[in-house]
Amino acid sequence: MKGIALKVIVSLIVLSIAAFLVHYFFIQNQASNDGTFHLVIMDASETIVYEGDLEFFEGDTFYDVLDRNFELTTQPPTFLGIVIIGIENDEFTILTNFTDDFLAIEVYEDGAYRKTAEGAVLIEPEDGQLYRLRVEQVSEGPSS
Amino acid sequence: MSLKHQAIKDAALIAVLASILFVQQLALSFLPNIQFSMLLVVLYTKVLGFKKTSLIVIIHVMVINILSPFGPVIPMHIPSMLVAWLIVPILLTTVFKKVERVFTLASLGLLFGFIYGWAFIPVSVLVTGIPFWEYLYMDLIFELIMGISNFLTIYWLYEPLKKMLISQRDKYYHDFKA
Repeated sequence: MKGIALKVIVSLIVLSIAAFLVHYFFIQNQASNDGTFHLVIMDASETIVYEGDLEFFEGDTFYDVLDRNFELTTQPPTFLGIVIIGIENDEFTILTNFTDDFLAIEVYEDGAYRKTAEGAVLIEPEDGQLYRLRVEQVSEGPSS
Repeated sequence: MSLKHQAIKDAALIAVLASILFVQQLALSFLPNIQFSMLLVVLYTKVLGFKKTSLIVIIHVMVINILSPFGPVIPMHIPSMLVAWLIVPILLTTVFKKVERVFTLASLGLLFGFIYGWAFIPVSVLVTGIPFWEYLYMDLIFELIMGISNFLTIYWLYEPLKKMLISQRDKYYHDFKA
């Protein structure tokens, strides 16, 4: 009985530490203050179909801002968030199938756009930052 | 028991235990990195030793990559997966050979969760071109989940399963002798 109680306590401690770490991973992806960022959206032919500044507020993720400004098509929520496969407004429509092509999210750093490793839900919007959404064919391989 | 009969018995046992490993992993594939695989590999290593466990692991990696719809994204991940799983019996029969306390084994299971994830880094970075730090950072959460899953399953189930497997193993070989 004592052994089981100890196991329960140890398990709860381990789970609590894990829950804290997971929570830490997620919470830091929300904007810590209000601001704006610049967004470029390119279709499969690399044509710019949208370019403009988007406003965000404290607590927003990158996904929240996109969701407020565009109509998004998403895959069902996965473990680490939501995958955006399509985006549209009154002037353009982009839809990928997430098999042959997908929407790459890129951030401007050191003079070039670099693909992010995170999905839209995990990106913390930063004031003055430049982001780009680009349709990428799977066969294109790693972007430079 | 002749060597031939011993080999037949071993082959049957390895096949059955590899099947258990495969089926549970497939059944739990919808949960990211939550599985009983590490528990079973640790258990097999401690009860059956390095050789049999290594064969079970090799069969498991081959089968999961051939039959599972959730197999590796690219075939080049197969060696990474094989190395990642073989590290467990290698370490448990060398560096950690004397470790028997369930809490220590569970803690090693936690560590193996991270080592398993890191084994995929070279191919992911060098072949698919994923940036190293981004990959390391984004995979941490999955490694943590696997580590916690390993810890809890080993901590709670290792001892009762070990007793059962030892008794079944002894009965299996003893019945044959008789």
